[in-house]
Amino acid sequence: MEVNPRRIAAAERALAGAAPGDQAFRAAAQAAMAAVDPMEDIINTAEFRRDLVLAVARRALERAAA
Amino acid sequence: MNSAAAKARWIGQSVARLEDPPLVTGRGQFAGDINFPHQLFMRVVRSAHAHGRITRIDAAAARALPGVFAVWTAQDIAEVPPVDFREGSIPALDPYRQPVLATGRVRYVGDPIAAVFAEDPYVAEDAADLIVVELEELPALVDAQAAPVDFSPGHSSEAAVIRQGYGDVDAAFRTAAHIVELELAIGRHSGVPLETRGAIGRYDAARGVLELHGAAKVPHRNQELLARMLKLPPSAIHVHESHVGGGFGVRGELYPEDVLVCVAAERFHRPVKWIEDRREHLIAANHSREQTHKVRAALDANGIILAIDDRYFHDQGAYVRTHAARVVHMTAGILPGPYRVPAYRAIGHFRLTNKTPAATYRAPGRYETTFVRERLVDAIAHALKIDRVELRRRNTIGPQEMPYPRPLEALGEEIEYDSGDYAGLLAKLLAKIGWDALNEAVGRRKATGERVGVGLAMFVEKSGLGPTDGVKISIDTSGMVNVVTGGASLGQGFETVMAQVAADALGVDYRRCRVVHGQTDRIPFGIGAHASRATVMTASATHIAALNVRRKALAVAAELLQASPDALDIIAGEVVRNDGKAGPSISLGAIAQNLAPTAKARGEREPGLTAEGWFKTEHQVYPYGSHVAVVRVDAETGRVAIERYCIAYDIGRAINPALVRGQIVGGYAQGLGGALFEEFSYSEAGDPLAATFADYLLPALHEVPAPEVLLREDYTSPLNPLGIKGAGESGITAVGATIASAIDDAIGMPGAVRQLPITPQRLRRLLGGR
Repeated sequence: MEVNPRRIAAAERALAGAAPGDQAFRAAAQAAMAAVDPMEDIINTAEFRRDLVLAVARRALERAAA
Repeated sequence: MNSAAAKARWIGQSVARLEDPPLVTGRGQFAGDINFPHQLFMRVVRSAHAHGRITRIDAAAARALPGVFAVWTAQDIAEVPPVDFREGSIPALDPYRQPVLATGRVRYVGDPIAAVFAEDPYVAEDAADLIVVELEELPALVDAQAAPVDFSPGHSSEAAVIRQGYGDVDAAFRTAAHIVELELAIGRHSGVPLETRGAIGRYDAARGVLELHGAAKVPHRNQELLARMLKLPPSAIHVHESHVGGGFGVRGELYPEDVLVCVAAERFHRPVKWIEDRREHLIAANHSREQTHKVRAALDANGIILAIDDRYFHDQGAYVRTHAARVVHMTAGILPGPYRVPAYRAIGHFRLTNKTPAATYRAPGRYETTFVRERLVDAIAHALKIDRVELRRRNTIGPQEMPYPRPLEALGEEIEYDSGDYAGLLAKLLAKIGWDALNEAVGRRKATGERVGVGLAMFVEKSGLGPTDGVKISIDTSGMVNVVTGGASLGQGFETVMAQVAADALGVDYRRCRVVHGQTDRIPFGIGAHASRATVMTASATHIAALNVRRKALAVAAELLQASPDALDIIAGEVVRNDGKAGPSISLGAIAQNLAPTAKARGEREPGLTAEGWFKTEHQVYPYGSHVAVVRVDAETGRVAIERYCIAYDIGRAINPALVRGQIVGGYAQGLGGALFEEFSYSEAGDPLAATFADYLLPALHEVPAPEVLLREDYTSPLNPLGIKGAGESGITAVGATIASAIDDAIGMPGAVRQLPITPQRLRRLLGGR
């Protein structure tokens, strides 16, 4: 996504104190999507990568909570 | 079929490969393993620009570097002509051939400009970095559909317009009940073998022979080609093939680097070694596949095809290489595939651009046209609301119509389908996978919101390019059978297959056969291994040669055993009575001893238990098959998961079924690459954007779920003694078409997929993403 992995503070704030579940996960994924600055290359545009964050961040949280 | 073949013991068995022991014990000899005393290492300086005029090359610093032996630019090899076509001069295309080193102009990123020769490869690479090339940049052409420009004075970048066809296409479209049109694009990709290319040139002054080691595939053709270019007698050049880490069409053609090592070895009287690095491979070895088709079909009210009209643009890249116009020409010839097409017109625009030159990659022309034709057939089914299987049945050429000539050409031969039941094989495939139940199950999942779909495609392959092949077999005094072929091995199991065929005819264990290939000093003729020809052509010649040796052996044995040749058989290398009764016997080795030049028993016979066999054919053979895929699309990420993939293929006769399956599965993996991942993209300025494996995405184990293979031997070929059809390309041919069809079905958008590869981002766009 970006050159280096990093923690997304906004996503962490969205989760802090919230009950695990769809609502919190979506909010955190939305926050992550807004926070990232995706790389762009020939295969994938930055917009496409940003959209991916929404899907994969939510799925990662769902899997972690499962 | 003759009696020896009817008693086949080795043909049809999945016996272990003879070639494996050195490979699995690390004793193989690949190009990188070949070394000669006093060798120099070559490094090629390549253009960093897509198009430009060279204004200055300064190699002084490179020449001054300790360990550098020489630096060459075009003027140092002015007498060496551009790399010739395999079949010799084609005046209309000659102006587009690639110079061995760029002469004043560079035409793609990767174009060789200079060559450094040094005592070790690291010094050569360091020296290459010191060479300063100044260029006046010229505009780059990267779109084969854009208006052609001047390639050189008097020569357009549209090198040729290919036309093939028959019947009154315009009348068919005037009277058609329906017309279906599509524009389809296949991405630029190619063979990316594990082992990059390599070439070692060596001049043997003692024998006066120039040797080229490394290039496998068409050694005799390369020998002739080098002889023409270097103005040497063919017998003064020998080409020796080594082990190969993947061929796929790209390896073994004669490239500028192969010519350079030969010229340098001859001039320096020192061996010269060149091993390609990965980045070089991705920008220097032949690209393939990139075509755009504007295709339309005329149909009657029942969906019967009346005519197909195709106009296509073939992105050849910067030069026309050894294959000349083969791929663009074959594309027109084979597009109609398994269907009756009463009128047909294909116009192919063969256009040069400022990209790496293109040529063949496994199933050249077929991967592309199967995508085009099968997309068209799916679109017709959708437009006319006819079930896609039923539509195919209505239009498929039937077994009673065989042989089926078509006034079109592929590889210089008129096309004539030899045998087969295309719809029958499709029915077997659909029965195997339970087509109706599968579609119902997929329908139920779709109803719950899953994006899952089923795709299919049919194809006719083309294999066994002639016109001829010869094999020389001799049995030594130990009874070992030496099979000397003009064929080549790209790792496909060539030695094993030839041994199985020789063993059956001779009544020996296949492990008692040694098979020679790819050595021009062992046999003066050969066409090598390409176009899925080796088993069809070389095995047929092997069979004939082995029967000739058998006849000789039995004649001598009959005399020595005082029996009629008809009363004898060869079992496990021993000539015995064929009625099963005990009696005197003699081994093949003993017969060979009796045929030694000095042996008294030889009498007036030619010495040696040896014979040649030649096989000649006017037509290629046309194996065929169908693919079915079940895929699941992740709408959020654009990822495509393959749930099931099934390939049905009628090979006529499988010499070694395990090897055939291996060919099919390997081809399928590469087909998935072209369908979903691999693409040589370029910027508008002509910069290659996929010059590493970070950007050129090869499918790995995780992306290639194992396919199911339905291997049939229903329709042997009438065109050769064993009924063989080729195996090499069936697994790859229909993958792009089938995956596209399955994705259409999964996303509920018939005809949506019009471009390969179907990357996640492209798929997301089809679904309305960004």
